[in-house]
Amino acid sequence: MKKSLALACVATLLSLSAFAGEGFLKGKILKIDMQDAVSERGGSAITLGLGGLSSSSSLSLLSIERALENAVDDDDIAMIYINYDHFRVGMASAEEIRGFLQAFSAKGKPVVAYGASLDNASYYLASTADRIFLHPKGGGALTGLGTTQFFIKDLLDTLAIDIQLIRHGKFKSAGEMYIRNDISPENRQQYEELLGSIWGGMVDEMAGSRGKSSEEMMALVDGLKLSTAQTWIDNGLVDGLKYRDEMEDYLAHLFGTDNPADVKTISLKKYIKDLDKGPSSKKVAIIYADGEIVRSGSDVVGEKLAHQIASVRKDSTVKAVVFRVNSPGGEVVAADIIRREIELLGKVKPVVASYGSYAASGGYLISAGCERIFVDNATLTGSIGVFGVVRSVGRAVHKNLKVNMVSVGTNAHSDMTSGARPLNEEELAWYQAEIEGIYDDFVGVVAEGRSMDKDAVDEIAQGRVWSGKDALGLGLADEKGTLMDAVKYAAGRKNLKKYRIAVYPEKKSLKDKLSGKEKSDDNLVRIQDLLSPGFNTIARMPYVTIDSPKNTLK
Amino acid sequence: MKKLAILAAVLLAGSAAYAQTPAKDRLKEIEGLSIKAKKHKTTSFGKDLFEAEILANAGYGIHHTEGAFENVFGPSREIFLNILELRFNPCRFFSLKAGADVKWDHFTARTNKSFGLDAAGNVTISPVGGFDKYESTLCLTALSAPAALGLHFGKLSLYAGAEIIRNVNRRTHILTSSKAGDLTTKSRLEGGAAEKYVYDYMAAISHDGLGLYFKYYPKNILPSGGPEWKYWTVGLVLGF
Repeated sequence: MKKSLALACVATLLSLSAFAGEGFLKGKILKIDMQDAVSERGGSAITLGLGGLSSSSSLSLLSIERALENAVDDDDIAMIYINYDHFRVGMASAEEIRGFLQAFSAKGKPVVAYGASLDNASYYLASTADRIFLHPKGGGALTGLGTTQFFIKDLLDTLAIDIQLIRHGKFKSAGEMYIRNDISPENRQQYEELLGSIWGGMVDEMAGSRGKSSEEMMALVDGLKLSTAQTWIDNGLVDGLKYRDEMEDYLAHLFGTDNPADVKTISLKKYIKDLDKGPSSKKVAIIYADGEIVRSGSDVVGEKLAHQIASVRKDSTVKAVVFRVNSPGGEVVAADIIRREIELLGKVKPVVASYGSYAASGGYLISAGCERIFVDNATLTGSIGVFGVVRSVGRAVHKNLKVNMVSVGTNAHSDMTSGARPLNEEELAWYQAEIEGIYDDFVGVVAEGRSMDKDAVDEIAQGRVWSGKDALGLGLADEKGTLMDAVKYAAGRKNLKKYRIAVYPEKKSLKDKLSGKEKSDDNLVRIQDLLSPGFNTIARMPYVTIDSPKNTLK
Repeated sequence: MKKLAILAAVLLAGSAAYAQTPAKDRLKEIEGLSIKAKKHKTTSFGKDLFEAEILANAGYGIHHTEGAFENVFGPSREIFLNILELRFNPCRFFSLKAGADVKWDHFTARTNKSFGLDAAGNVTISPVGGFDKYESTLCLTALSAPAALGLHFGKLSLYAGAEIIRNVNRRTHILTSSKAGDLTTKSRLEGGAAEKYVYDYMAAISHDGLGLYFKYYPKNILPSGGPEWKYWTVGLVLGF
């Protein structure tokens, strides 16, 4: 009895000692500045503009996720401090980063956020923090998600450019901008449901983080209740108002000092650099398809990427592959070239797909055969459909430039692709048949890759864009998860405990760096494409940006 | 088994209480704390110049006896628990520490040997037979004061030092358990004499709080008149 009691006392003392001195935080602050742009691949770009050469750089989502995951168990990192001003992160990326911050917080390590302006995207991320502070003269609004689209039929008519749209799928709205002056009812329905799905998920998460109901959050948004900093406090969405020097004093207090200079910090950039890379003999490869899929150009060039995929297939040090897709689609042929190489790769190594902001249309085609698909709720995917755009500029050049285009040929349809005239009925029927065939193939690829019935795929295809959340329910994706979740799954398939993550394509050439702006989550209309005659068969989701207005009350 | 179960239950209860504390609650707790004025200098490498810690570490070691007593002792062990440790950290790579520990030693005789006491109260070792199972253990409880120099390379640390041990009450006790047929007998014999002070030399290597240590005991723990043996110990030390 005495011995048991003594043992129990010792054990109690041992337990208590784990908490003795728990008080103030010990270690460093990991600082995350959200004005550092986050892109899929990260890196730098050099732009030549009116003001001369300028450079921009961004952090890769992969390195951020690895750093945050490492920070969870790093005893040297006591807390995370986020500056959410000048937020430059896409919705899906924000969703993934949010998950890692929650994991950090779940370990009992605080996350504190500070800034001067809040909007849909920045608050979505900041709301996961354990404490949110706002500049006393700051503020902002939550407005919900919207999309604004351009319809240019009247412009094309004015310029006398003839556009013929051949498509399959009632939701394939990507070509509607050329032939309509307003949105069709089907596509209005599509966007309302899509945005509703994404925003609903965001509201649920933000409300959950702040201990509110989704209905309360929606009421704040609909009632435009948020504007000045005080309104954010009054509605319980932030915890306090502080000037920057007060914020520094607060952080110092958390570490038990009244001198901010005593507090050790490390930037995310530096923390990322110090991460252990792992052994090079066992790799998990991440192959990026980041951008529009083309046959030539500077985005996801079909042949180039296919070549990279083939080299990964032959590399014996690569044991498993994650195919990271952040693409709205593009040219059908280019997409199929990539799809084929992924299929060959999948025969020798496990290939897992991870979707970023977009993996739609051609972006979905190239990855539908992967053995598992990870999505974010905010991912835009599906858009299983195809369309063709025929641009004829014969009338335009005559009307505007007084130039006549005359074609001479050997056969009845020799001038069909010249762009001098629209296609006739026979030619339209031929092209429609080609589009139908491509659509049928597309549906077949998805049905085989997802082990679904072709009719079932056709039901949810029709060019409709789905959110990642909805895609999970429809069988178009398997699991909600981040890029790192996909990496771990792929590693687990080969029982890899220690491995290095290798990224492909490898280095950006100087030409790519000089090609213009850094990849971002924007999805802009390419007006210049309209003016070149000819036709393209496209498997692409609509050109759409999701509006999220910045604070203008400062 | 029962003892282990109690130990595990208390440890788990303690751990669980901490794991349920979310970061928000932790922040609330810290925000309510007052900052005391620092009386000592904080170094540039994050540690305080002087540190004091309660229950800094604990360890478990296996004794290996030398010479003639190699065949006398079976599995013998020590367990120690630090009560208080004082550290001086003049730079990132070097430290001095001193502490106060509680220590328990068990020396178990082989199955054909038994500890006992003679008329003068000295510990004896004598052969024994006719039992199916026989176990005789010499137990000592002591307070010790280890002191060591430390070299630090990131999370890797090397220590070298010495330890003075004060046997409590200068007494041992002997636990005996025997089984013959269906008859099991247990006894406890108090009063064996032990040296008041002994000492050892020690070295240790640790990484991130988990370490391996070595101690050499050159002085006999029993006074003259009793059996004399030297021994060394290898064990694991866990820093909290």
